[in-house]
Amino acid sequence: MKGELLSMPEELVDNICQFLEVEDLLCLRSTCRNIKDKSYHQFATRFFCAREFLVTHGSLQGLIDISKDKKFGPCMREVIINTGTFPPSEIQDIDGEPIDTSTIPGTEELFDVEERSEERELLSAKLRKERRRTYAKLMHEQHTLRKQSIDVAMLAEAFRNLPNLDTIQISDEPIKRRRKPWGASEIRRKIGTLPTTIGDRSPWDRDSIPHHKKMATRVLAVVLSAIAASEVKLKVFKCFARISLDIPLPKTPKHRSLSYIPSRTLSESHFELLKPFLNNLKSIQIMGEDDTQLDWLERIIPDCVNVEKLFIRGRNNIKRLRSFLTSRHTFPALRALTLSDIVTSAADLFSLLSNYTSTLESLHIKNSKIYDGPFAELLKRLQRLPQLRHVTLTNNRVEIASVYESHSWVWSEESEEFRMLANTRPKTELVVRASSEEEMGQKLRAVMH
Amino acid sequence: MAAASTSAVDPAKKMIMLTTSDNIDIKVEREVAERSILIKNLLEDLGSEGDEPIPIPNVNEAVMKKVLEWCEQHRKDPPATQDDDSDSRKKSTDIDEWDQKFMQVDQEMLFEIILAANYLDIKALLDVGCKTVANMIKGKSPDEIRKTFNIQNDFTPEEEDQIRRENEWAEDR
Repeated sequence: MKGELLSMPEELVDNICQFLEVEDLLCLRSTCRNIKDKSYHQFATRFFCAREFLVTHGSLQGLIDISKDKKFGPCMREVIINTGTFPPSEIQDIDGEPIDTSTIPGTEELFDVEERSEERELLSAKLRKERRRTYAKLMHEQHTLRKQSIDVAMLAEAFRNLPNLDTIQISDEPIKRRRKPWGASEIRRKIGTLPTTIGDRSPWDRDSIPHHKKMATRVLAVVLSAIAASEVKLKVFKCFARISLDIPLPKTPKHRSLSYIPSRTLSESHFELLKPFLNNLKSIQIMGEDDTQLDWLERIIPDCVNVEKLFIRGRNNIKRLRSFLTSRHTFPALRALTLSDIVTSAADLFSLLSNYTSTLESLHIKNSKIYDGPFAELLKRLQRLPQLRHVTLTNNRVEIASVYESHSWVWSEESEEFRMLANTRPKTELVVRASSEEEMGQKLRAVMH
Repeated sequence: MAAASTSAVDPAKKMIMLTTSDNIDIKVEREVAERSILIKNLLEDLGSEGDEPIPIPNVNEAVMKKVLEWCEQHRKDPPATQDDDSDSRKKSTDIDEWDQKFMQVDQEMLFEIILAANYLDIKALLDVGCKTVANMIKGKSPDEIRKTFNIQNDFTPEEEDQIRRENEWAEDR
């Protein structure tokens, strides 16, 4: 063994790379062939394992380029499609400020002179005009992609090229807060701002919200259509976007569409083609803020017969969810259920759980509010689920009591009782043992208070 | 150091013998040596006595002594949990003061310690070593990194273009 960086085995260079920020990793891999090869795994998994894209020509072309790359295409496991768009009502917000001096030669000095110099005003006005023109172009480009179903064709091409793709996510998270989707920074350079999603808007923003909602639904239609066209075999489908599919769909691609979704993109016959994909799914993760946004899910649920994991996040009352989750053919293979940020009555929750008596092995409820029922009753009910082996309850509000700690219970076959798992944080570690359901209930109630 | 095994000695304080790659025997308390999962497993496999010297063919005396110095300092640390393997372990490059001083060694020793920690399966020490190297890389240009670690740029212009393109893909676009 020799003590120098170049002679380190690949696994140790990989270990070092795990502690590096993006820029540092890029600099390190640019030093020599040896290090570039040894840091390849970190580079590939960190940047290409899961990537986010927009429904714009540039972004989708980027996805196609990566998918064709022999090294990085096979690394891609998850494709995230962001609903970022360019609402017509927001063109008025496009301004000449801030001026990005790096993109316009000879403008650096303008920042040394007074804020409101005439020269600067002129430049700002010129920029505003250019940016609004570019914004209009981008708007038009998205429109063309949609009208001619080019977005579906591009996405399907990429899906076909990605041999290890197993997860697709739709997201309406605001772009500005985190690592940006492919092409977003380029757009910002051109128009001085980023595409927006419904997550950027306040609920009272009546001008752009309808556009955002349509865009989100359109993205769902494009993704489903591309999945059908590419016949990609996915295991996980995530939809963290406010989507409603309450639009009339034509029977086949040949029938005329009566909505903003072209019939070539999504028609009733596409759902037939989606059956193998839905049959193959093992995990679904969704977000819903109100009942209407889950209508698209109702469309696909009957074919999701092999889904084992379900994650639901949302502020919604789960009454409607319960109505279709408790129907006989809903997720017959469900083994793990996670409910996050849910408001529900205890009765609804119990009813939902009782549908999975024979299959449910793991339950996680977090940041949720359960009303009209003592919490201990929930624990009692859980003991009637014979397959249940793992229960985690985190930050739930139950009636007026609050539990701001994470507790995990596991069913102990040996003692036939729920035992609280040792918590990862020693300060909140708590073990509850009980010889009967009643005692367990009492103890848990005491814990909650 | 305490005398070797007697029946009255606390098993953790019991002395064991390690034989390094340069054939030097080092006596060390079992509890200290057991910071190494490799040694811990070997001792368990060999039985509770552990009177036989344990060969450590991949680590020389100088490095072994340094590693044992770290183990001594961290002998009471809680054992690594499975969670330590998660991403959260990887994010921070903070190193505590004692470890920082401990790692103020020449580069050759630093990499020898990392190799030894990997071989001996001492995750916490391996992380400290890798964090130290990561901190030496941070904020440096490729040229500065080359100088720091004595690396020759062996890329052809075509390969440099390729890397530039790949790096652009990785950056915030």
